[in-house]
Amino acid sequence: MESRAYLLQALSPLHVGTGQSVGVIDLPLMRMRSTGIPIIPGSSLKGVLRDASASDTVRTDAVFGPRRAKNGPEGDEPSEYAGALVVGDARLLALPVRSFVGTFALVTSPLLLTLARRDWGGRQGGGEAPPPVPSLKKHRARVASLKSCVCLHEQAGGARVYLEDLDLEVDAEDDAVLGAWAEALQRALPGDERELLARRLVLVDDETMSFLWETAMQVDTRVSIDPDTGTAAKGQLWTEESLPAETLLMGVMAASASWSPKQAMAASAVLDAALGGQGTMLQLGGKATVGRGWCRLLSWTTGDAEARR
Amino acid sequence: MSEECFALLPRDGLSVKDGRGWYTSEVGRGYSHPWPLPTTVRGALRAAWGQDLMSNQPGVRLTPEAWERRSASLALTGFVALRRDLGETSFTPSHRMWPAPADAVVVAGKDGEPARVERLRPWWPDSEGVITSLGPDEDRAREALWHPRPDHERRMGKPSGDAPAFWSEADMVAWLMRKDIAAPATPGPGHRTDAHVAIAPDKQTAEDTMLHSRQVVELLRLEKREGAAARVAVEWALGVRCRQPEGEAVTGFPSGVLGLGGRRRLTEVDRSTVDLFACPEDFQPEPSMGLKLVLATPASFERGWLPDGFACAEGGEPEYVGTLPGVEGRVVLRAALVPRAQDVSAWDMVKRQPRAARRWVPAGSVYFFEKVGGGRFTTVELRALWLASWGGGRDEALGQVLPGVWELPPECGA
Repeated sequence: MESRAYLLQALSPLHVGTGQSVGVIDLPLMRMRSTGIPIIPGSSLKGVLRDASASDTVRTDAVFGPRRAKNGPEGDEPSEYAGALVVGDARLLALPVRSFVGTFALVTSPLLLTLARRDWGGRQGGGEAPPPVPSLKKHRARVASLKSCVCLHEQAGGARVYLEDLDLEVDAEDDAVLGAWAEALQRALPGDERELLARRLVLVDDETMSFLWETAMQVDTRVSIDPDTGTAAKGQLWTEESLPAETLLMGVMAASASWSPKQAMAASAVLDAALGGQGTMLQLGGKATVGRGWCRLLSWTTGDAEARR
Repeated sequence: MSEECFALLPRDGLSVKDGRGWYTSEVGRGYSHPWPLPTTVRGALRAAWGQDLMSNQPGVRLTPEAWERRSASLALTGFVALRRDLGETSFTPSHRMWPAPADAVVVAGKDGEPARVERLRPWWPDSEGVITSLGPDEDRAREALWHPRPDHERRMGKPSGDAPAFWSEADMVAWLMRKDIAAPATPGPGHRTDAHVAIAPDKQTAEDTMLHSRQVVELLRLEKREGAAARVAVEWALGVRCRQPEGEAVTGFPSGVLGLGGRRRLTEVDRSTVDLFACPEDFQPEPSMGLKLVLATPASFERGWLPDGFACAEGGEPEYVGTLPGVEGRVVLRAALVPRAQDVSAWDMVKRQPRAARRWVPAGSVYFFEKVGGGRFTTVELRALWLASWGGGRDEALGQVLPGVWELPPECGA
């Protein structure tokens, strides 16, 4: 199978949840259980992509698989052929976190970049993956450029970053490896947003990152209004968790040649069809009617850092 | 014939359905095996092999029937769980993880004591303190099998509820050589349950009747380690050795990523060597009167738990006698520690329907043997049995065994 990496950039809070919880948040985000890393399941993205391309049914069926003849359990019949596309889960890559200086920082960690490196690196048609990121001491941070980072607070003892209520000392040297990452990732972003990463990307240690992906999410408290009384409906107060706007997630899509007898497509054409034009806008996850889940699907263009294997 | 060795690294976790309700909407819940089966991996490799064949030969398009026929001799000849710290560059035998053997009971520690491992040892069925029957009394040889008892009398305690499902290479090699070990504490892969719902395309709302869940095994986890300041990221993988169909070998197979298990989850391929399956140098057991075989992969025997080729001679002693691969002479089966059978179903991609279910002896089961007429199993014989194939399903890497030694009870003349 041929595969390409993709980036998902949240443009509004993104809620892809588990549906229920026994914790303090009624509607938590979906996460990997063993690591706690927030994910967007590939099945969510695949469904949305299918819905977005439904105008050409023959081609859509070739890419995503034949649609069910009937909705519901009555439609449970073996398919005539398989879809050519496999969509991997999108994993957190960089989390926007409130910063005392510079409004917000895009925070990542060695673990997240190690996972991203495997997703993105070493594929045909493009450059090498950025080098591996060395680990950091606990409660430390690094930035690509001390001069251009907008999230630093300079003081006598050296630069610091203040992320939510965390006060982290920043290494006194530029991190060239992190700079390479920012440069490689920002090539997928639209031209006028490319400086976002270089100026706001902050690398923290994995323990701090796991604390942030647990506690620095957007949590909204919502209530239903009783239409008769115009007051809060009893028992209908709930909290829901979202990935904040500007979150970056990374995933992989793979494809074989089409299996459809009606539409021949090479694997690369299947991936082109799935990824759409650069910066395809999608609505993912729940709470669409209150503006949640607007995302941009991004990838690297051929000959640049094309992620194909 | 060349064999390819590689590690499979599933990116997003795996869901290998066990066949209960092929259509999830029938039951609302998809049950999965806790660890992928070798037959699932072989199926994925056959699919990938066909794709690679077609991409190497433009214009060739395999029909499902031709695909099944031509890939039928693709054999999975090795299958092992692997575990390493994230960031390590290659897999070695030291990364191997083995299914916990059934002759080991991890006993929870009391009053702050650490958990310990108790070794089960077969004893005569009429020995003091063992149960007297193994089931319906219609099989003399089965009733005459020896029964497990703690190696150290009165030391058994309450089995621990969180004993790990896999043991490290070092622990397993020591256990097979009958050395005492500390209770294995390596956590196994994580599991989660994913809930899914179908969205009706015409209404854009959830279809209540299509709400379902499925179990997923995660292969990436963060572990706390003694002395480490931060948690360590660890990844699990599947070590695979496979042989392509003769005369149709595809160069570079498998190329690209693989789709594995339910929903064809994306799986990276990390090239390795045959050393990944080699018998470790430090496995040098002393010659022994007792041989035990631990199943490293599930086994498929014609008569359920009873190994193929073992039978009770009519009119002779009530015991199962047979032969083992690589062992000279005939051996007597003295005991078998076999957990609940593993029911396995699969989907027929040609007929588009479920295949008939099969029953396997689960990995981790242990069989104990003696030589007919006595005599010791030599170190050479024991080493030759390392990952030898036993029973049916050899093309699916079924019945691969780990050899070990056991000590016969004193009254048996050991």
